[in-house]
Amino acid sequence: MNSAAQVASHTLRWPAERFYWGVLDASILPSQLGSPTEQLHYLFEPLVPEVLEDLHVVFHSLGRRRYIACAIPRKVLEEEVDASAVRLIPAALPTFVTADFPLESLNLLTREFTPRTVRMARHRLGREIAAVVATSFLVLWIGFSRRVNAMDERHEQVSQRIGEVYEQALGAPSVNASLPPSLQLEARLRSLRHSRVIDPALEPIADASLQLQNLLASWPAAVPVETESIHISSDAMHVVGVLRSTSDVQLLVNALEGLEGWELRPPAVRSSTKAIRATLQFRRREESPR
Amino acid sequence: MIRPALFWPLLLAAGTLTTVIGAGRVRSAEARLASAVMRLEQVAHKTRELADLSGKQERIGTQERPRQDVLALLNSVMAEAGVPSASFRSLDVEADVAVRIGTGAEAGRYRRQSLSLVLERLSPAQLGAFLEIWRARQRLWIPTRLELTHVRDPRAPQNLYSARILVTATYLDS
Repeated sequence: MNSAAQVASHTLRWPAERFYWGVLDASILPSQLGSPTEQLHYLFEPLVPEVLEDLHVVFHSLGRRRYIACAIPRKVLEEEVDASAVRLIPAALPTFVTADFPLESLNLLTREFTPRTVRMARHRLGREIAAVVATSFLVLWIGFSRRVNAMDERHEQVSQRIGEVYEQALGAPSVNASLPPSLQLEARLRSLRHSRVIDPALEPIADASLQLQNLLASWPAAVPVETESIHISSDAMHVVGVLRSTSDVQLLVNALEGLEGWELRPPAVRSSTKAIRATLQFRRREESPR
Repeated sequence: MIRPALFWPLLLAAGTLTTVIGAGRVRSAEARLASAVMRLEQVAHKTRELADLSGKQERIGTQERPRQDVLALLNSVMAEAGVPSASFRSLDVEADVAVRIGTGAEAGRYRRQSLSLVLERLSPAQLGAFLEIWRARQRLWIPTRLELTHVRDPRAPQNLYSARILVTATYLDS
């Protein structure tokens, strides 16, 4: 037997004549009812021949602020209702009531007359719902805690990795180190940035050894020159050499005048009986990078 | 014993409080972790830069270099280039001047010190090797002036030169 059938078997259906009835018009009451049942009691009280305190009343809304009241003496409920009953409902509505609604909504076994079995079932259901709700919150808390623990564990790993990275970069931490690793790294970086990278605003220094290398790369190997001196600075080059003839001087000039970034001035040539002494002067072109 | 009327509000309040506190702990742990991960990335980036810069040669000194510093370098380069120590004649301080690269805080941030070095009786091969090794060994002291003068020695089997080399280094003016 299912629960609906069980409820049906324990439902008492008494004839309508055993109840007091009333159709109440609540439109005369304030629209915002403080306690609707209490207000309806006042409307119902003049309609019954007994003191209202001796009756057990239930109400059902018929719509448009109309209510049907159904009452039965408390004494009857205490003496005549079987302990196994779970519901007491009228078998039919009185003839003067034309409304159509399920009679189950006029169950008289409510409030203090709620059967013990129903009360226990409700308590059991309440405990089960409470247990489910509490378990849900507990599961939620455990989930949060597990997530927090996992993230804390990952945080610990990341912190450890940071320590390893510092150690790889800075070496094993010293007991006497006055600065934390982050500041040590920053200080070392700052120093390296200053010392390894040329400030673009700083005028570059011309490397004279590279200038010499460029000069000698263009030097004509076929022309015999006894080089007396070579002076190289950032903006000028001076070459003094002794050659056999003016044609050799011309060959030397031809070879060196195309030196990139440098302008060759007209050579100074002094002739003697044995040889020719030539002085070549180069000036750095203004647009040429150092 | 909790009154039934209070039970559900208390249960829901406790549950809500639990949820709020738990979610707060999760958010806090997430923020801590995100911050640590970001810090790790920053540290890793900086250490990569450190390794990269460490691999480069020093271009600017962090302070003025003593004469002995260059003397040690000179001896080492001469030995490697096959220049006999007898060729060394002198090493003198030439100048130490501020470099102006703008105005305000930038001005006078750098200085340049120069030393004059004289080597005598170098063959062209020795001179070339000396300059090449000098350049390969470091990039701080740059030859900025070269004065090569031919040495007249009829007994010498090849051309010999005396070299006056001005080397200049830039350093931070602290």
